[in-house]
Amino acid sequence: MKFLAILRDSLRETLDVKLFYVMVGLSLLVVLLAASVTYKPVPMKQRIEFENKMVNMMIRGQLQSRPETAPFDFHIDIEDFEQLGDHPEPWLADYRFFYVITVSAPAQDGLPNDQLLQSVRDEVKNAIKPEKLEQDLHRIFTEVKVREAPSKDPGQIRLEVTTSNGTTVKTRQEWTHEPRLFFGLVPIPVPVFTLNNIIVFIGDWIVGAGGAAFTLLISIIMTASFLPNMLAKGSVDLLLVKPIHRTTLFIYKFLGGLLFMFLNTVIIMVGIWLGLGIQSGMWINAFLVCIFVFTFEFAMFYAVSALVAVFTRSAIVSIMAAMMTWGALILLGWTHWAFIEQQRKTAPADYTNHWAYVGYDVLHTVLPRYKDLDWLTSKMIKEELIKPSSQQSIDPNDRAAVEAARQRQKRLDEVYENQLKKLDKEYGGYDWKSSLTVSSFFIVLMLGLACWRFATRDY
Amino acid sequence: MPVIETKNLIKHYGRIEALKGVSVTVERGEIFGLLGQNGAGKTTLIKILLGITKLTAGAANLLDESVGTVPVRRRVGYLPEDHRFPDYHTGASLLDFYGALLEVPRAERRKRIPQVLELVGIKGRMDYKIRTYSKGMKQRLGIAQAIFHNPDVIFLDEPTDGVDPVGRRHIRDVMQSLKDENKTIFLNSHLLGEVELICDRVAILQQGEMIREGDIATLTRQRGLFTIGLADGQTFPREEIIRQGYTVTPNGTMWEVALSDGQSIDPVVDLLRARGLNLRHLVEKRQSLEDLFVETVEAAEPGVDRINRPRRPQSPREHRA
Repeated sequence: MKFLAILRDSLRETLDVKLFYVMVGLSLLVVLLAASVTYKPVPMKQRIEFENKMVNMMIRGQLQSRPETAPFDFHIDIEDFEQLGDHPEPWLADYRFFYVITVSAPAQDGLPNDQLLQSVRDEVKNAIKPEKLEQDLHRIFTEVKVREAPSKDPGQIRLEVTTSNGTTVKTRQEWTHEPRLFFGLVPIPVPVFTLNNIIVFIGDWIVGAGGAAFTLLISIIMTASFLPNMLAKGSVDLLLVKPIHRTTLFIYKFLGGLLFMFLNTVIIMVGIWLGLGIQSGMWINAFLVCIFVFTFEFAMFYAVSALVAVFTRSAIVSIMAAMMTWGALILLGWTHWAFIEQQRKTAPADYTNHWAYVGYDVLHTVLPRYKDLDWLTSKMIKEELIKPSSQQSIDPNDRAAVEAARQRQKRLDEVYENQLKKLDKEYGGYDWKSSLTVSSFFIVLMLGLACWRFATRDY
Repeated sequence: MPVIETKNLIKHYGRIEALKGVSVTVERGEIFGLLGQNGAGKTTLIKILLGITKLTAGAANLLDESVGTVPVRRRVGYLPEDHRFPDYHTGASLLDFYGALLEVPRAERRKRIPQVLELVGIKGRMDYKIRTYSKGMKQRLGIAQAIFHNPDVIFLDEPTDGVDPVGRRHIRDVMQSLKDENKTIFLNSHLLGEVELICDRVAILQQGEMIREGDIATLTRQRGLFTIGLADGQTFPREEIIRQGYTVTPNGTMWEVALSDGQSIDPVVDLLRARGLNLRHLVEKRQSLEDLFVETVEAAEPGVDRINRPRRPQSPREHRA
C-alpha cells in the first residue's frame, strides 16, 4: 500500500510538470512518425532501370575517355518490360524484357566514319554478350535466359531477357524498398536500400541513439526534482514521522522515478515496435528489450542524482551531476574503445603494457558501462535484423527445390556468421554480463551511500 | 504512565549544545505548551520525540516506547512549523497519500477525508490544488493531516501561525475537542495568549535548558501579592498594616498588599474586620503568561536569538565616532 502510495505520489508530481506533457507530445510524435513510414517494394522494372542507369553512366564514361569514341551517343534502354503471371511480390515473380543497346554517331559532317562506328558497335556487342549478361543477371534472378533478338534498326542490339523461379531474394526484408513518410505521402528517394537496411537505420540511429538519448535527457530533468522536493525542509519532516523506514521510503521514491522512465520508454518503444511491425511486417523484439536496457541506463544516472540530492537537496545540482556523469561515461567509453579496445590485439607490447593503458582499462572495468550498454543494444538490434528468416515452404518431393533451398540456407548462414563476426569486430569485445554486473554494482553503491546518508542524517 | 517522558535529554549539533539535559513529562489527555525564544531548542525537542532527529544522550520515551520506532509513529500526528506540502496535491489527495503511508485502509480514508477537512473548515476546497490555498488554509490542512489517522499524541508546532482570529478560535476548539477525546497535545507556539487559553501545563525552554515548568494557574500566580478593595467611602488602614510588616501600595481605588516570606494575608483580613470595614475585593494577583515568559527568560541567561531590547543611548563620544 505504501509503495503504491509513493508511486501514485510520484506520478501526480510528474503530471503536475508541464514539461511532462511536452515530452509525451514529442514521444507520441516520434511514434507517429515511425508508424507513418510505409515501405513500398520497389517494382522490378524500377530496380532494373535503376541498375541500367548506372551501367549507362559507366559505359558512357568509358567511351568519352577515348577521343575517337567520345562523340558517339550510347545508351541502353529497357523495353517491353512485362511480368509473367500475377505474383504480387516483385521478388517472387518472373519477367520478360529487352535490353536495347544503341550506339550512334551525330549526323554532322567531319565526324567519325561508318567504319569506326561499326567497330565501336562490335566492341559493345562483344562486351554485352548474352552469356555475360545472363551471368550478371544471376545476381538478381534465380534462373535467367538471355538471347539476342532481331532488331529492325541495324544500329541497335536487342537482347531478350526471360526469368523463371523468381529472384534470388526470398523474403520481403531482403528486397529493395522505398520508404515513404506520412502514410505514403512523401517518398524518401533511397531506392537502393533493402527493408532490412532501412529498419537497421531506424533501430540504430532513431531508436538506439537519438530516441534513447532524448528520453534519457528528459527523464533526468523530469525526475531530478523528485528527491530534492521530498527532502526539502518542511516536507521531509512530514514523511519521516510516518511509519515507514527511511531506507524504504528512499528506495520507493527512487523506484518512482525509475517507473517514470520505464513507462515513458514503454510508450515510445512499444509504439515504434508496433508502428514498424505493422508497416514493415518486421517485428523487432530487440526494441522491446531496449525498454529494460534504457531504464537500467537511466538508473545509473538517477542513482547519482539521488546521492547528490541527499547531500545538497538541490534539483539543479542533481541534474548537473547526472549530466556530468553521463558525459564522463560516454567519453570514457569512446576513448576506451578507440585507445584500448581497438589496440588490444594489434598494438605492440610496450603500448599495451604502458601504465596509462592498464590504468585506463582498469578504470573502464570498474566504472559503469553506459557506452558499452548502448553499443550492445545497437548490436542486439542489428543481430536480430541480419538473422536469416525462415524460407518459404517447399514441396519436400521436389528434390531440386529442396536442394536449392538447402544451398541457399547454407549460403545465408555463412553470410550471417560473417556479419556476426563483422559486428563483433565493429563493436569490440564488450559483453552484456560484465557491463550489467559492473553497472549494477555502481547503482547499488550510489544508492547505498544515499540511503545511509538519508537514514543517519538529522532533519 | 506518562505519554511523553524525557530524561536528561542532550542533543549536540557539532559543538553546539541544542539541548542540555531536558527532562519533561506529559500525561495522557494533557495539552502541554512548550515555550521558548527562537533557537531555544523547542523544535529540536519535538523532532527528537518524533524520531526526525537523533538524540545525543539521555532518554526519550513516547507512548511507553523509545522514540522514533515505527509502531510509535503510527500513533503520532505532527504539524511542523515551516511545513511545505507538495503543492501538486489537492487537500483531499494529500490526506489520501499520507493516510496510505499511515496504513489507514482505503475505505476508511475515503470516509475520513471529508470529515476531517470539514472539522478544520476547508471541506469546500478539498479538491483544489494546495497551491491555491491561503496560508491559513494550509495551516488548517496541516492540522487535518496531523489528526487524520486518529493519533494518540499530536505535536503541533505553531499551529495558528498565519491564521486569522476566527480561524485561531476554530483551531482552539479543535484542540479542545481532541483533549475531550483524551488525546495528548504537545503545543509549540509563540502566541502566548493562545497557549494560556488552551494549555494545561507549560514549560519554558531557554538555551536548551528547561527553566520553568508547571500548570498555568500556578505559574502565573504572583505569590504574596493581593489586591484589596473596601466598600465605598471606607478608609483603608494603610499605616496599621504597614506597621505589621506588610508593604502597601495604592492601585487606583484599591490597594496592593505585598507579603514578606512567611507572612499570611489572614492577619490583614482580620484587621479589616476588626475595624468594621467591609471587604469588597480580595484577589491574589496573577500575571499574564506573556509577562511570566518575558520575566523568566530575562531573568535567565539571554537566549541565542534574544528578544530585541531597547538600545542603550549612545554617548556623545560614541555618537561622534
